[in-house]
Amino acid sequence: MSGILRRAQRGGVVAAVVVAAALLGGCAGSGGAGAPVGSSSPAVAEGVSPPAPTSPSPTPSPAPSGAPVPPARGEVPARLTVPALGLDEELIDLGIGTDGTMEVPQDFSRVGWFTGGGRAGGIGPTVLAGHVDSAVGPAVFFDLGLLQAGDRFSVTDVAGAVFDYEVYRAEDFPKDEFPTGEVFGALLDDEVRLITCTGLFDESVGHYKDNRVVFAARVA
Amino acid sequence: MSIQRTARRRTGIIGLGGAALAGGVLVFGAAAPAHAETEVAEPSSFTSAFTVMATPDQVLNADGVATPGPAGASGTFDFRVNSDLDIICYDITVTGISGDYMSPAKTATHIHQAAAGKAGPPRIAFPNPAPVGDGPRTSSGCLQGPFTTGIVNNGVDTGDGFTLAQLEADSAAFAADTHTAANPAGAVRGQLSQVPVGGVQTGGGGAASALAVPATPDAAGATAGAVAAAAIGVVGLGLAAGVALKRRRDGIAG
Repeated sequence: MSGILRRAQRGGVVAAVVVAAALLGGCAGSGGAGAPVGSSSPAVAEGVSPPAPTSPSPTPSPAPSGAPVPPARGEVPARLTVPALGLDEELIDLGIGTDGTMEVPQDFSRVGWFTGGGRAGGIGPTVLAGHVDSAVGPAVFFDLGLLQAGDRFSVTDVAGAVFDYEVYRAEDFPKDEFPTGEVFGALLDDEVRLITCTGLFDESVGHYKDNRVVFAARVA
Repeated sequence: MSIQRTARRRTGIIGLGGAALAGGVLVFGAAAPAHAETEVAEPSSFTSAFTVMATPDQVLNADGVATPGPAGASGTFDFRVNSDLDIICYDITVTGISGDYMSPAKTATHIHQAAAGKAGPPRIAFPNPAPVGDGPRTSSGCLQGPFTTGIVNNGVDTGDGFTLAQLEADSAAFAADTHTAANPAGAVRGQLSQVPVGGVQTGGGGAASALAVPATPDAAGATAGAVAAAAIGVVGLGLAAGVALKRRRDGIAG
């Protein structure tokens, strides 16, 4: 839903309604022959600039002897603050489920971080996930689709240190083509991924078809 | 890094042949075919995934003694596994290394059965990242077992009998690295770290249902209802956002 709202803001109500009407005509009778909203090839959000992170490197400079120095691994993240969305949320731990997918918060009002990924202030992507809605209404990441390139937010670690990140990319991905490496893959930079659902809700399985992923790099 | 990773992902399958060829040509002493295992197309699904941040400070020699690679070198190894099919797909990028590869194995880029701080035998040999030079080197594709490495201990190849189910059972016991002539013990190395596969199920559909037209019992009707929710949601943007904030602060969850 957040992606839908985002498109509405940028594309205009009239255009969006026309598109939706066309989709209704194309899908209702054909069983989905027309491409559903947000469930075809990945679509980069309009107005998102090419990645240009200027994150401070968490990798220490080589020692004077020239010997390599282990890169900083960071600390456990404790809080996500997104002023543009009015969010200030404590984080809960999320792991990997028995089916191999990322665990998600059982409480639809909570945001969680993937404990097997990066950590605030260290190398690698710190991956945070929250629901766009529950079974009864909007949830904590309902507005995530509004974040655009240039927006900033912060992550506070358990020691109280605050790290600022800037969005450089926001993109929707079909779940069956989820870019595991781009989202969870190792990095020498300090980055954050914010994940929620978007696109069409498939009532037959009880899930949205797509994920919205916001990519952000550390700036301070 | 992100730009490179995006481009590589989208061209990974196309680039497989070239990377494999380059790797085979560049391997020292690789007179035999570069791979006994089969290079295959990407499967439709995966049972697990792993990532590795390989750095020079983690390199050990065969005796387990710290033998750092060159300062400034690094590597990322992203693996996706379908253990039912014994297929591993790899996306490898190394930077900050120079010169040719060197290894007694049939390639110089491996997964070793080696826990953190320990040495261990290679179990899988991947095509070496290319091109050789001072810039970034990449290697992408998918391999299907049975695997061979070209390293023979007691008459048995160290890849013999190894399956990806073993890797999934204890991924922390495995490391990835690449070896060069300048750093035969390894230029970079890192432990495998498991990451999720597939999409993330972060929605219950309540917002869609609240805005949807009356549902019809058939699947086509359900799809139409969801699309209708999209259309109506456009109009209700401001109101819906306000409701979202209130619900969140009230701690409403389904």
